[in-house]
Amino acid sequence: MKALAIVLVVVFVGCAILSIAHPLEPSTVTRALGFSNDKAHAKHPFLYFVLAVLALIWLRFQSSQPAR
Amino acid sequence: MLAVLQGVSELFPISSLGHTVLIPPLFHWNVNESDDSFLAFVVVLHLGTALALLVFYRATWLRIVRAFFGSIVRGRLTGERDEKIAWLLVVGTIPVAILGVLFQSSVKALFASPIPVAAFLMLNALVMFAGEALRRRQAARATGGGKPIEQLTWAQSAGIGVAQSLALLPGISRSGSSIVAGLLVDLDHEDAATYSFLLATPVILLASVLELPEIFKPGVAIGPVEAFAGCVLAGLTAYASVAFLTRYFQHNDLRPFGWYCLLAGATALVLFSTKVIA
Repeated sequence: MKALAIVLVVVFVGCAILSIAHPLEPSTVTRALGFSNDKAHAKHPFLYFVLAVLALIWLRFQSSQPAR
Repeated sequence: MLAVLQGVSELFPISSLGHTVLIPPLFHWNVNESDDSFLAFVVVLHLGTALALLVFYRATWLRIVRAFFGSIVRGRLTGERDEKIAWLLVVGTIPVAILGVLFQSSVKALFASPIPVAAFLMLNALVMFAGEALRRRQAARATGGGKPIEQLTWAQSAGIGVAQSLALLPGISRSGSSIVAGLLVDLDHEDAATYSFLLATPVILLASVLELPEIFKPGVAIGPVEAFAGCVLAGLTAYASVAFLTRYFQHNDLRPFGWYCLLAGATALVLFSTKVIA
């Protein structure tokens, strides 16, 4: 589970960076994900940032659990 | 009028988005729903609704927020009631936040016209009727009353969050779908409504705060007095609505709202599809 939390942190941070830079050509998928370069996306980076923080908190909860 | 409509219909299980699409053409209000000024005004109204929910549940939110940060500082969950509710709300908010940010504008573009909205309003009614029927069947089998909110599992809370995100479809009610989902996982009506309102608060608040810059866009013609008046009026009607609904659900169920949605949806469907109203 710790590994999953780390993967999620990395994925969401990557998505946040992509949605801030939004470098990709507009398409249905890139627009939905907030990666398209046709407009600045305000909600997407916020969402990805919050999800990354939550994944970090989950990782912290996992780390503080006693080893079995 | 729009502020009152928003304040009431956001929390009653009758779909505020659906009413925002249906009511202006029905009453010949001169409203352009894709206009920047209108969208900015709707943001202000949502802010008023969210603030009303925060004020109404202020004591609960204070305990929840304190327990939430306490658990983060400790780095572990203790199983205490407010802490469990705090994390259930986080888990329940994740699906609606993801689906809302990713798909809201495309879903709205596809379905935000009167005929689909009228059809979804009727579907909203059927969901409420089906939810009530299933709940009564469950209640007949069970020995005690509903379980308390803190006994929800993480998966059940996520399920209620997914149900809440059905409200992306204009005509499906956020509170209606999440109350039905709450009933199906064995909450009673009062707790299902309370959990639905608690779950809606961060979503409405964050969405409106993130869209607040819309008000300051060039070309938006909303004065500070109009914005403030709209926010306060929507807030007051939302506060009255949540006060009424929490008392209502102590002894009553969703069926009257189901009948209303069925009737309103059918009437709108006939009027718009026969082009009696353009």
